[in-house]
Amino acid sequence: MNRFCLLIFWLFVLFTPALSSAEAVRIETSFDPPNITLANTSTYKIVVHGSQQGPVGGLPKIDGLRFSNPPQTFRSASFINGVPSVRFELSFTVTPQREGTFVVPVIQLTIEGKSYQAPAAKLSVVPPTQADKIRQAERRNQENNLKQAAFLEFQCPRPFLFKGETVEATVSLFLWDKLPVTRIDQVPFKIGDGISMTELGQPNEERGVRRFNKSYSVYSWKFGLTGALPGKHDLSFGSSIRVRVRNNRNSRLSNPFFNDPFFGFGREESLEIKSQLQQLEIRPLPSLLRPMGFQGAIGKLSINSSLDTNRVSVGDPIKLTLSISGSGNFAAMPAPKLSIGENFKVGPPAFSFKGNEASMQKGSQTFEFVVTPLQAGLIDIPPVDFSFFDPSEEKYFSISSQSHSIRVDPGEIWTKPKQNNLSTQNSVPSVSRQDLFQTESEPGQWEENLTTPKPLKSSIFWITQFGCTIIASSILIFRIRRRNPKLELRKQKEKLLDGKIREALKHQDTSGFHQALRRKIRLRVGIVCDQTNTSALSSSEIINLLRQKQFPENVVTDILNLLKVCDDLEYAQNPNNITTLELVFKNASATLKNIK
Amino acid sequence: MNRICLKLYFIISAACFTLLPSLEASNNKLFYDAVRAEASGDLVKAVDIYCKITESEHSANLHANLANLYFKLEDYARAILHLRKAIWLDPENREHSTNLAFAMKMGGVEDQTDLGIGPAFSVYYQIHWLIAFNLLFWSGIFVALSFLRPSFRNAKVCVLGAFWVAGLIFLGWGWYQTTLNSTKLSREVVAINATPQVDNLEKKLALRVFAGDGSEANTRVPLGSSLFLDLDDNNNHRFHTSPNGDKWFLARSASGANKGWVREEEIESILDFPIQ
Repeated sequence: MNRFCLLIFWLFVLFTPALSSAEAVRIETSFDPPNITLANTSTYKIVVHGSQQGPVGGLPKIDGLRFSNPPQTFRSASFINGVPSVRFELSFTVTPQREGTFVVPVIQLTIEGKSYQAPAAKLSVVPPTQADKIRQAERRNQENNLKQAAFLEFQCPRPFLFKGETVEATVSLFLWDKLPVTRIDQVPFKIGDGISMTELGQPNEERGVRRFNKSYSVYSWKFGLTGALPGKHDLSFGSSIRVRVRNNRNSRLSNPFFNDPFFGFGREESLEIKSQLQQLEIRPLPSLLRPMGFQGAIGKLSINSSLDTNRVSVGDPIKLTLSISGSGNFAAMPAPKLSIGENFKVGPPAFSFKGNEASMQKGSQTFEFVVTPLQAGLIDIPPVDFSFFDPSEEKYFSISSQSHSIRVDPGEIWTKPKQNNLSTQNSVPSVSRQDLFQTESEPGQWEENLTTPKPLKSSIFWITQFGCTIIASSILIFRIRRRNPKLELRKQKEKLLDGKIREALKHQDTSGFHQALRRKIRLRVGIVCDQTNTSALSSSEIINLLRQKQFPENVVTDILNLLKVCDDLEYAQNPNNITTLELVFKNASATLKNIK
Repeated sequence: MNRICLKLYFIISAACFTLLPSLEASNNKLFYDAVRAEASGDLVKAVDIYCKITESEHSANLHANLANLYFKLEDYARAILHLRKAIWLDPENREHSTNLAFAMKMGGVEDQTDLGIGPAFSVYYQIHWLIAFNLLFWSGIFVALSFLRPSFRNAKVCVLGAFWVAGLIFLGWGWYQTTLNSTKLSREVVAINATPQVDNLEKKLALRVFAGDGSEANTRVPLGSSLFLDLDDNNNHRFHTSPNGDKWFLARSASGANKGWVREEEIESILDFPIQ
């Protein structure tokens, strides 16, 4: 198969240039048929001889004619009397919009990079004949019949809604009994914004409903319609059904419904249905006299409350049930706020609705609160306030539930038993009193499992260890690289000299002190100025080195003075100069700190 | 292939991230259902709901409520067990400790939870000991590497070094003690089901000589008592599977003096442990 395809490909590649080069490019245009009535259509053809490449260009706009787009294309290649011939055809379906004679002018087309002219073509449109008029009337009749065969009807009980108000609306699908409907493809859906609706459930079915002198089966869905955005909104409904139609592929009209669709036996076709457009106004809720506790409940409502018991112990939960009944926006109704004082702990409510689940508009919404008394005594649960807006009276109302009295017993109390120990018998026993076994109404923090921590199996622990090891190794490597044995030796020497100086100071060895101090000055200057043989430096050399290193003049002067003092006092042998030595040592330490 | 694996990975990750919060939310809902069931007087249903939650998640309040329910149902052994779990999850809560003491008194169980070496070495501080040890160790290493030079030979450095080593030994010992406690806690189980007895009305769990129903008891412990499972050479709980499929564990009393075999259904661990 692949070889065959490859052969055809190579033949095509080899022969296409031969075919195209065998004939000069020539363009023909024509209307087929050239004369039509207003009810019919014609075909405008552009035929390119000598090329199989599509022409590039555009059709001019002709007033009174509508060209189909995209056109149909056709390529052909043949040998006529041994001469190769190729052709490319473009066919546009032309629909006339008025009577008259229309001319498509000469068109510039580009084929294979070269420009060619397509000749003009003429179409004559004459008034419709009697047969055309009859066919058009039949078609309109069939269209009307089809509209009446299946349609949607939407009913809203009120001409306008308030924002957040829910009403029970109905959408009905009418199906003519003679229409061969196989199934409802899609239940009615809303078309339009600004209004929300509940899901459609199972429809009510009614048979034999008369409309337009026809008998219909009607499927009705009741649902809750809620105004979401204030303003005027267009609202309609759509649906689709499957209808069995007769196979008639030879029909001139491609629409199968216009060919006696109602008694056919053949394939199934989808039929789209739309209801009439309705405008629904959503009004904002009045802000005047709006109660403080209003939370968005709209409708005609009443409130009732009940307790499951009126006598409990401290810590035992009680079930407080608030029931709001009537008609209203139950789907969007929040739980009333419970402010029953600090004597109780209140848990989150459980919601339940009894009534029309589809529309959630009529029924009773129940809120179950778990209330835990925290103190003993006769305690009142105060009435719970509830505010709502009545759309029929266009007023806000505030109502309250009844109050309840409950008796709360102190509950079980445990007294820690006395220790049976002789040593503690004489002392006053400490008695711990505490309320026991109170039920917690909140779950607290959730844990996935109960296990002991295993930090040694934690990846974070080992990543931290690895990181610390890397840092420590880096520091070690850095220090080893920067290590200078000569410098360290000198610093070690400096330390030794420090020790000698202190020793000399301690024993009042003037000579040793000044010797050591001079050596230390030499060593420090040698370290700073990178001199190897520091012991050979003379005083003037030290001063020169410091100046070369651009130390401040006061530092240089201090060093100079120190050196002079060392030279002068090294052999002074004055036993009373301990204070002077200490002073010199302090000055020297302060000065040498500046040489780094 | 890699792309498919990558896609699968992302899909599974996304599913996990989507499902985890929903699991928590569903457990919250179940919890409230259980509280309501308790409020309406249906204690057994409340217990069932709480037990269902514990299959996936735990919380201190959940186990405390469950313990309260068992206490009301006079099943003191399970009350003790769940209070121990609640205390494990929330050790700071004094109510749980007080309730545990009361439940143990009602159940006739001696307090065996004292580990003997003080609360500082309890399992709760295991990570603290390890962090302190690591901080001291690495800070010493960093200080030595950064500032210590071969020329430093004075006494201060030696004293500091000695203190550092002593600190490391102390913190290491503390960490080791918490590890021992952790191992002990992971071995701890509570006796919850009594051995069937015809002639003995007192509900006790028998620690048997052999792993079998017909075996004599070495000793009997009250329900709610803590037992410690023996470990094998691989540090797994030592167990024996009988021909009828029952799993038997070798358990010891808190003092270690008494030991014997108990069936899997007769005990429940405080913490999760995998039984192979």
